[in-house]
Amino acid sequence: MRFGQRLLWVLVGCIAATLSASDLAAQSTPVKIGLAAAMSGGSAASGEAIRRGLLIAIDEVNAKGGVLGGRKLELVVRDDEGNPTKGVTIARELVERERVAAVFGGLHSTVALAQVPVWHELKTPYVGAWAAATNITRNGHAPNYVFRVSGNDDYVDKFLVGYATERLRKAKPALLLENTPWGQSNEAGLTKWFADRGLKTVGVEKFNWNDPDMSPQLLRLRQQGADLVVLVANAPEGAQVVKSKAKTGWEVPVLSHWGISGGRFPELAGELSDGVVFFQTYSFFGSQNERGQYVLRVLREKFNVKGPEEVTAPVGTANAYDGMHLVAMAIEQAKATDGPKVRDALENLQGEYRGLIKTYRRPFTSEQHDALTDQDYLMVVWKGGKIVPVK
Amino acid sequence: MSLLDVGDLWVRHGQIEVLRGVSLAVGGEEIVAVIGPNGAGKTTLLRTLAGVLRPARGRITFAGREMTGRPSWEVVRAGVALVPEGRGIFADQTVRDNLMLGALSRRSFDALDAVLERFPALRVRLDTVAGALSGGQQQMLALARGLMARPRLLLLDEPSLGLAPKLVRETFDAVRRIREQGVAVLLVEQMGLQALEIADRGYVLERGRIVAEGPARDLASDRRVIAAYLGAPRSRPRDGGGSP
Amino acid sequence: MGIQLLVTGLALGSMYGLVALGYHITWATSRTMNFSQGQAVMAGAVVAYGLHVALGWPFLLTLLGTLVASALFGVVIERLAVRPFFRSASLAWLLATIACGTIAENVAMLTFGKDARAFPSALATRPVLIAGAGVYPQELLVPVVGLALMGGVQFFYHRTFYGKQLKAVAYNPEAAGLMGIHIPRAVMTAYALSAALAGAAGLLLAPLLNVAPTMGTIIGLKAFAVAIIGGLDSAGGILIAGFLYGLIESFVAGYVSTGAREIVGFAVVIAMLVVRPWGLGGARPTRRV
Repeated sequence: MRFGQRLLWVLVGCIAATLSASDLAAQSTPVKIGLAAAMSGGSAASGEAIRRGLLIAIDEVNAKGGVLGGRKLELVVRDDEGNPTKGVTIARELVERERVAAVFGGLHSTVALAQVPVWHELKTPYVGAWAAATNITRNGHAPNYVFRVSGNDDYVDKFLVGYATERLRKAKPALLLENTPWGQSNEAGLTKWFADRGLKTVGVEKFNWNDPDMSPQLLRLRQQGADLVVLVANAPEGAQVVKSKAKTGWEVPVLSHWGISGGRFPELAGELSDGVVFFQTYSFFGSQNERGQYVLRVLREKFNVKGPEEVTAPVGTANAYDGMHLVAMAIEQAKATDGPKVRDALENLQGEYRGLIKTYRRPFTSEQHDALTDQDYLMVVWKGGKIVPVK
Repeated sequence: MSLLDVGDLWVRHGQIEVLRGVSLAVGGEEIVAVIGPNGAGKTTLLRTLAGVLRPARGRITFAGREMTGRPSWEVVRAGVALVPEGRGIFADQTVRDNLMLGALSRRSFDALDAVLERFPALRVRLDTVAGALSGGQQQMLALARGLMARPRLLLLDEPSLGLAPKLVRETFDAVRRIREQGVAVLLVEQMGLQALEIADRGYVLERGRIVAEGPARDLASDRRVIAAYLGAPRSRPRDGGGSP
Repeated sequence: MGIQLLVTGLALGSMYGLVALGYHITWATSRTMNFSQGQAVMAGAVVAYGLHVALGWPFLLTLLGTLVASALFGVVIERLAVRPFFRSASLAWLLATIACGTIAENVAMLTFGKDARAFPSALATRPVLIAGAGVYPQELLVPVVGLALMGGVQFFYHRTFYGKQLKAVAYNPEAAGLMGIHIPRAVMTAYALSAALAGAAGLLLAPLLNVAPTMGTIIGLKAFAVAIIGGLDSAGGILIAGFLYGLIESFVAGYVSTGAREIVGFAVVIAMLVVRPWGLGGARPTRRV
């Protein structure tokens, strides 16, 4: 060959090599998944639980070859410190600097609500794994980039009301709620769903954080003839409620939102915690399906969790585990990590995912961005410091 | 060597220099009077010697020991007791409690009998709240309390303040008797004449400086001193002259 | 309901009074106040938790340990936040004590954790019935112990020689120094005593309120309100004001709403400052000629 021709072939060869090299590089760069949750402070346990659920699912997917032809999933964690402003900052950081394909969210509804505009601006899908405020997923955006595998306060209220009327057969419910936006939104929801069944709440009482004594509120509800108390509170206030109730000597069932699922509740309330019924999205107690057994085993091997009673903040782990699998499926279906494409895939997920909490078939639609509804929740009860499903 | 030696004392109140290079001495059993007009710095001088104020410059030596800048609770333990201007009695506590507190630095209350001997009017009022005493009685109490500390040097700040003339005389008589018991006295007064009458030596303090010093008799007959300081008594007795 | 509210009000009120007495003691002795009194309450509860629940010490030893630890807390505050500013005639001690309190709260959050923990007490488990109303024996014990402690402090101040020395420092610090009373040590004692009272309050309240690093802040604030209402210079006024404040809070929360509780309470403080700023037991300041 003449020199000019040889040069041309060398050039072509170089270009081809470079192209295939970048192709290979693209094939081996990991797909990053973000976690923006409270990893420190009072709610740190919830963030850690979510992280574990995500990691277990990610390891599972990676063991089967990852996504998009061999790319491994990688988790990037940022702490929102329970602070909405910080939440917005880390949201931007995860998308703009870390270039994650999707972000999972944590316990605080205030943070999640503050982040909603960011996901839409940066066109990155977000899957909530805990925060239950209704307006997180029902945020009026179209296309909607916010999804959730967790409780939704509206459904929760419906579920609680259903249990109160059908299982407990109570007709004179009373509400006892914390004096915060969370309490207020649940007050609206519960009132609405009771009205839907033709019932009126006989009384609504509020209390503040750190209140030591709720006897006055309980006494008033008793005077108004309540036969059930629906409670929306966190562990410390919930404990004071049951202690005040015992003090007044009022024997009335207590049905609660998941605020009292925190591990300190049985410690603070002592044996008075027994019998308080509340909702969860999942319980590791009782008989487990295959996924449940698998997750418990990995928790034991990787995180030294000896049994269901040592699983802290179990709903975080369960929600995140299923959520991660759904996102992995969406990425595969979209054949890309591009935000809008993954979002569309999530909204139109093909196939079936036999998950931990349930079997998912078309979990999201353009109208429905909550994978779980009141049909999927379960009722549990505190018994001897353990959470057991209600039969 | 004197009992109390003060060398070149400078004391400031904020930015104002109240004492400017004051030097004086008090011997073992004498009464020394410091006289001068209002605002001369007489009270500041005593408060500095007692450890309530700290000098900016200068030295205070008592019985050969360095006292400069020591706080009041150390000074009284060393043997210098101040009966402050306005008496400083604890009006919310009884006469007995006041006297006991006075003896705190000595850790023993055995001076009580001797002191009550000297001030019999207090003996019958031991359980009276000090605030209920008359002006003259309060002055007695203040003096008695100072003596409870068994000082070697007693600093008196305007003991005649607010007292009727009869009481003033009685007070000065008491001071003379104190000296006779072997306690030195440094007496600060605006009633210059009467102070010089019982004193052995005197100093004249004017605008923070010693402007004259010497035996009391000499000062009392110095014409300039007489003209400037030894005028009529002040006309504001606090006490309407009731009997103690 | 009335009995319940009465008992709760007396219990809480006596604790406000006890902590407020601490403000009075340091104010009277040094014309400064420990604005970390609330955190001293929390420190007492946290130490009590550590000794009794974590280490399993018997109750009496726990009480002793709590009082010692709280007194030490007071001494540290005095050294760090008050003594440097004592003679400077500024209000720097105000900010400094607040800062120390915040630091203490954050240290507690880091070591004790942010969660509230239960302090078990046999007296806070089973309620007793009084005229048909349920109350925990602990709620009855608290005002009794509170009164006893306040009485003890008064006895100390008026009947013991050391108490009289502290009274002298309060009345006229310069003259007290002339007696040979070590003023800085007296101030330190006042701070130790006032923090110990707060720590005792923390121990008494722990079974009722749960132990948490943030438990003291609002108590410290309300106790300050009580000190103002009762009169910073009047121990007796503070005692009465404490009970009054607790009862008002309890009855307002019971018969009106819990939201109104703080509003009414602090409104009383403002009203008192307008109408009678020297407090219930204080003396109208006389003009000295």
